[in-house]
Amino acid sequence: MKKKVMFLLIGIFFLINIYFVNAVTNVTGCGVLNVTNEIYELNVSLSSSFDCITINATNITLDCMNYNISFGNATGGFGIAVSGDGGETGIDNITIQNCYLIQNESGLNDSAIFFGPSSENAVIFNNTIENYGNETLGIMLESNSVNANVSSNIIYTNGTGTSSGTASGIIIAENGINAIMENNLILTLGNDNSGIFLMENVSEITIYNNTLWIMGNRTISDHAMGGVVMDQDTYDLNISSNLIIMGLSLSFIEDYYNYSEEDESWIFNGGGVRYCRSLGLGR
Amino acid sequence: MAGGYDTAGVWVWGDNSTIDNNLIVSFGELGDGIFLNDIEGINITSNIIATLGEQGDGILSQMSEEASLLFYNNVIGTFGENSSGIHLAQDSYSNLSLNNISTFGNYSYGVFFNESHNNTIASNRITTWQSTSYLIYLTTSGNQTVYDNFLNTSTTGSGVYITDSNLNYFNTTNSSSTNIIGKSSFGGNFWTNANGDGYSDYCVNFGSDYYCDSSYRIVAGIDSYDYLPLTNYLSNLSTCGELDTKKRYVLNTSLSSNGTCFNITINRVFLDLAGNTITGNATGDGINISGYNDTTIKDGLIYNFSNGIFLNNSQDNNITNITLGDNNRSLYIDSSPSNVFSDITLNNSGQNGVYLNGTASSNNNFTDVMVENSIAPYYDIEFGTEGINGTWIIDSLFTSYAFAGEGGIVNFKISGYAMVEFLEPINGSGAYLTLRDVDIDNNLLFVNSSSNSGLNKSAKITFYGISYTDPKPQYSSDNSVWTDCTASTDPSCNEVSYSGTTFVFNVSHFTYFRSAETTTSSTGDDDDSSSSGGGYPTFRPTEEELKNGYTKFLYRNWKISFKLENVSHIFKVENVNATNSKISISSETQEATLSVGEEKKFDLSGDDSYDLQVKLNSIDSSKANFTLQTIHEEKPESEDGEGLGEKIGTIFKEDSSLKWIIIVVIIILVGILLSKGKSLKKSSGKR
Repeated sequence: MKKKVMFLLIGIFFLINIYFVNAVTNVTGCGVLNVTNEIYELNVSLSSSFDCITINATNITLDCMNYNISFGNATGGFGIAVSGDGGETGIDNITIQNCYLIQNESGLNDSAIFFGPSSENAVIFNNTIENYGNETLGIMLESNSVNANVSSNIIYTNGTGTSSGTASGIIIAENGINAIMENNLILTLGNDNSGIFLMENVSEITIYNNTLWIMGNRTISDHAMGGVVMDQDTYDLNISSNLIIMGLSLSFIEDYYNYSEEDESWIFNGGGVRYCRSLGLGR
Repeated sequence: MAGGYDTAGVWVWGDNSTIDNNLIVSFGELGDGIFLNDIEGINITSNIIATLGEQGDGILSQMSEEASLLFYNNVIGTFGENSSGIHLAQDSYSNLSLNNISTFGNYSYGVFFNESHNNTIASNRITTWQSTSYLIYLTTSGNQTVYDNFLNTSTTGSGVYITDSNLNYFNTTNSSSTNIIGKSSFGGNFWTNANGDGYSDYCVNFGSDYYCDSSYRIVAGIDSYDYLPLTNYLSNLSTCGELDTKKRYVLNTSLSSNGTCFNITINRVFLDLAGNTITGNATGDGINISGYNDTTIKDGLIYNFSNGIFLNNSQDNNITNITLGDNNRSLYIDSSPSNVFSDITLNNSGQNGVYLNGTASSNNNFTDVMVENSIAPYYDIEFGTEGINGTWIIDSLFTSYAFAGEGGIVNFKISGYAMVEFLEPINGSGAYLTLRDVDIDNNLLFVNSSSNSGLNKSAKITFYGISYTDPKPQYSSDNSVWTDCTASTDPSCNEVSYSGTTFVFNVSHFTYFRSAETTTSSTGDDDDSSSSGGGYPTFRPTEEELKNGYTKFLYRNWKISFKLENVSHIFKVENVNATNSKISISSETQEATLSVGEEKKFDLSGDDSYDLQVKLNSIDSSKANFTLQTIHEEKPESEDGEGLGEKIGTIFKEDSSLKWIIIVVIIILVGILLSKGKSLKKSSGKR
């Protein structure tokens, strides 16, 4: 009798557990993820000629399970957009992890990962981004973001910046507060791009233990450019324990990473991320 | 490719943030490590920053007035030109502490302040590596407080450059806190340089603290003093022994020694004998340097050792103002090149005055070295090994000499007159090296190859102070009849250059040589040259030696420099004839001609008493033997000012109108006396 009761209780517990724990939904194509409290997982690589994934609801985890997402065309496109391009605001508690985002060559504008204004508690973890277009950002957190955590990502951008946009690694837009960015590897090749750019009135940000390799030149005189840029009226920022390399010296690479000159064209034609991994940089 | 042009590792326009523990490398031109613009309250701590492009500052901060920035414990290296470690432009009230800054490019300053005031630079280590790169460069920047820094400059002087700036301070209040070199003397800075001979490396420190005894003027002509400059040693030396620390030793007493007194066992020792005497027992070395280099020895007397100074496998030493007496060998130079011996007097050596041994003993320089001690079969200077080349003998006196075997290449110079650089080894021996066998005078050079054929070698001759429009070389066999010297004459001459007043030509072998104006007759009598100056020997007896009577053989133009009551005087032999010698004494020139045996007293201080007695003892082959002795003797009355006769004579010479008035007065007086005499005669006739 006691055994029967025990089995019954275990069975009830099991059912309750299944009911209340988030469901896991496989994602098999580009599109909109809009179920609150849902965990989405890729079980195939995805491809889009413009935007790929759009998240429109709170409390969603997107785990790409290391599958690829290719996105964008010559006019733009996001890899993953939280609240879409200029769409709703304040999509909170979104986690994006284990994604390998590859921008289709010659894409222009937009971002691999985009969070709309006023997002809270965004987690962007362990993703790899390869961007090839001009003015295409790795990760963009639009204005008034709160408590973002951007960590252990590898971001490679090949495009150049212009007076209307850059191909920087990460941007936290105006009034962002209380974010942490750590253990990221950012490699930007084009001119006028920065590694991490904190825009006006951003505050209480920690940038820790990142590797930022910024190879381009500054050609637009009224634009700031750096491994980390803290724009006007930013405050209470902590930039700590980062490796920041501005520019490239073949001799430096040769000395420290057994780089050969033949590798250069490969790096600049899409092998940058793999190259960085081969150096033991990033994850 | 390089990239990174005009960028910054961290670009800061915001306030009140911390940048710490980052490693920043910037390769591009104008690529700074950290760039700050118009900000306040930023702490930049414990970062490692390297910039490799030109104009890439480690940290550049601008327009942050009253910003209270903290730059603390950062390691900064800049490798490009015009790349400073920390560059503040229009910044004030910032604190630079415990940073380690090195710049490797030209015009790259450790700390560069432009229009920046009231900043503190404390406990930093700053090193530059180019002669154009200052440690601290202040332009229009006043009221900085700079203390407890380890400042290692590659420039001359202190490494600080100040222009158009108000007063800056280079020390803080004296305390016993631990300073940047680990001593309990906290206040000023440690001043060193790439050669390790900066002010702090070799300053005098007789005290028991670790401050230099004297303040250090940072920039000449500007009120900029470190009143508490740091040093890491004590200077006092009071016993013979091993000198094993790179520092300035200052002997504070005379010493006696059984055997070797000082044995130097480290490079770059500075030994100041401070006028003291070390006396041996005829064994060992006064000073032994074996296997170590860059030693400086100065200002003392070394007596009665087996070797006064012994250099063995030692180079680049500088030995100056030393008297060596009664040593078996005064200077023993064994396999030791490139040493400089200046202002040296050698007396009464038992064997050779200077003995050079081993072909490695090349390129030694003897300047103002006076040797008077040779006793046959020994020499004032002996080259014990053939092949000792590059020896310089400048303004020096060596009488007896000898070269082993094929000899060596030696150069001679009398400053201001001429220089002869032999182009092949000279050899042989003789009794008068710099007086007769190689005789340099005003536009005249004679090498006496008939005295020693080993000197009859090709050479390059340089005459100084020549003012001819187009000089040419001439030779003579008798210093009377001169012949133009050309490529086809014997000896042959080849002109090398004429620049300014310096005329250079090569000769195939020796006799008399001079220069002459090209337009003058190619053959004729001697004419005066146009040169001036001269570096003839100058002896410098001590006050004690002068007091006891200082005797020297002197040739024409030779001098004795001495001080009386802290006023310098020069005794000079103007001329020497068979029986007399004309001398002069200055500062206020007095001249006299003395015959052999005659003595004369001089009032040098103008106090109506004699201060110096000069006696001409003898003349031997145009060499006059004088004794100079300081005295204090009242002038006799007749010589105290002038006697009546002298006064009248003087008046007559100086004022002809007075002369006639006096003559008239005398005539009147005589007339009166005569008329009185006649009256007396008349009156006696009445009786």
